[in-house]
Amino acid sequence: MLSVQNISFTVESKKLLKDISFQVSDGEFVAVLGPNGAGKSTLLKHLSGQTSLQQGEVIWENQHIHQRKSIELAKKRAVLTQHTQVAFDFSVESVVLMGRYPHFDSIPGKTDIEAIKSSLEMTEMSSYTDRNIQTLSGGEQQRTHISRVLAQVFEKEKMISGAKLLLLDEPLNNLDIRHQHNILQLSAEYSQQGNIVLAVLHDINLAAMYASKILLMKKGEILAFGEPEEVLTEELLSACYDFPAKVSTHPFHQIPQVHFGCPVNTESRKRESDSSPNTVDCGLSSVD
Amino acid sequence: MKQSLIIVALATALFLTAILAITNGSANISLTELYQTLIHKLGFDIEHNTKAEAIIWGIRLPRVLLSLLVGSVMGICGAAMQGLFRNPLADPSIIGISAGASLAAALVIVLGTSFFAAFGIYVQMSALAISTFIGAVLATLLIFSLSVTKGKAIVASMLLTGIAINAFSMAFVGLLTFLSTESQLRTLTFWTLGSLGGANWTGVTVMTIIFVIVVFGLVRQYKSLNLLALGENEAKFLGISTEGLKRKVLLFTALGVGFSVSQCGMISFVGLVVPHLVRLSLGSDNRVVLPVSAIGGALLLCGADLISRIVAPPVEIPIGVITALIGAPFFLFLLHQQKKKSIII
Repeated sequence: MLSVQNISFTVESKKLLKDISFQVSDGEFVAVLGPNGAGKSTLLKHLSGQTSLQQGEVIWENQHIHQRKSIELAKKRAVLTQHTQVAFDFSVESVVLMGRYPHFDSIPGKTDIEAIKSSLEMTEMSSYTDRNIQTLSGGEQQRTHISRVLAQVFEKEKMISGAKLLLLDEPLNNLDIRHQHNILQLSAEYSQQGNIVLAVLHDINLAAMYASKILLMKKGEILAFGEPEEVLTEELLSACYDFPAKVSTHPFHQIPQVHFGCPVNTESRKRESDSSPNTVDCGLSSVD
Repeated sequence: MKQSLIIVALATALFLTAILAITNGSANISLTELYQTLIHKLGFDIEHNTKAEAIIWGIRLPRVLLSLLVGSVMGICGAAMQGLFRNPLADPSIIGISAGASLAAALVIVLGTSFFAAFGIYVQMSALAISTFIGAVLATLLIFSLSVTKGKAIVASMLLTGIAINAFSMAFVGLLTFLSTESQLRTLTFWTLGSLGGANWTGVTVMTIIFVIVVFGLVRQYKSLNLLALGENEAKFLGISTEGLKRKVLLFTALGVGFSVSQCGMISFVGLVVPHLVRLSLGSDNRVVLPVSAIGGALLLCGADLISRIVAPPVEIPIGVITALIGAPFFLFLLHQQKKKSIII
């Protein structure tokens, strides 16, 4: 279980996180949603232990995450950050192997090789193993790094060494539609094995389709936290994004689907249509 | 497969170059004489040429061994520095570490000779070695504090710091030439241009110890240096204490560069050219790059020393001149490559 208690974070007198508390049970896939500047990445940095705590606590499996040794943590917790740039020309395979470094001393073992192979297959990168990562497209690089974090928390038979934690900051960057679905499918499956996956996403409908819970943030606060059906309501979403939202049901799955940019209600539409001919008239008359 | 072929080819080339370097020079030695000397020195009774033995044992062998040791230390230190700065331009001689070391050496030579000489030659030599080490450490710390922010080396600051340290130590050495006596002046020139001419068995012993410490110390860091290529945060998420890694790499590099400078003065560009060629042909995995850069550095320096002795015998061209003649155009080429990839600054 991952438990976040009363986290606040201030930078230059700007409150980026305001008293955030929530709990994630093993087996859950949480999508963190919210507009720019909502504090999603800042929250993720707190969960990964990257940012030192100003206030509050992050407890995972009854231990403070900030007090755990980084090498112990590295065996059970993987983090995908945004804009990872590899400094030298490593091959795809050697980058993915880096995900296994915490698990072996000098020579990769059988499980490590298996982890690399299976995570490359999962992200459909198997045919790229010898390619230089610097020559790949953005999406292919992203899939390589996803393979790396998947390899890091790879488990041959599930739950031998307890639940793992996978933190993904905008994992769908640069990916095409099929790979977006694939990565979320993988994340959902991984969480169903008893692990925790927490991902910052932008696409609400994709989140609704794969995540078991949604954490909706705005201006450093939690607006709502719960199952997609509870969180994805027209009121909450319109308020969150300051943009009118409509919610319907997906034609094939029984899940909410969100549409933005629709008129808020018929009255306002009527008012618009009432007023517009007048303005056109005015324009025309002035030309005359 | 290709990897092991290249490594075997390099090792063979290194062996042949070393043999050539022992047998060629102002006086040529035949292979038979070399063989006889070595066998005789191993304690076997064999007919041998005492004059050839004097040249081999007294001059050539320590010199060649020193070139191999210093070259490999410089190669591996360059590779490690580049890994730490996450940039292929970070060579100890360019960013000013060697200059810091030679400045310290110059200070000890000119200002400290009479003081340390009172304690005998060994104290004088160790004072020199320790001060070059301290000079290298101080220069490294300065470069790091000025050019690395948020775990990323700002290339412009890194190179500019190098320019400043190089200029400062050059100016200071220039200033010291006014204060120095004739013999000190010769030593200073030797230091600023670099030479293996002063090779002796004491130096070889010292450098062997440094070689073992530096090579083993750095090769053990190969995983950490690879992870650093992903970025400082990513390396932390994969269990690396980046602060500890920095301290270790800086310590080993300063040790390697400092002692190399104390043995043969400032020899530049070896740490730039060799790791780059290794990465070009074998990829960037530090498990390969670090040890192969050591082999390549040894090969380059041994070869350069051989050239410096046979171009115009009996005159020796300072070896630093030769490595700079090879290295400087190479550095410009690298800058050009970086410009194309637009990763500079």
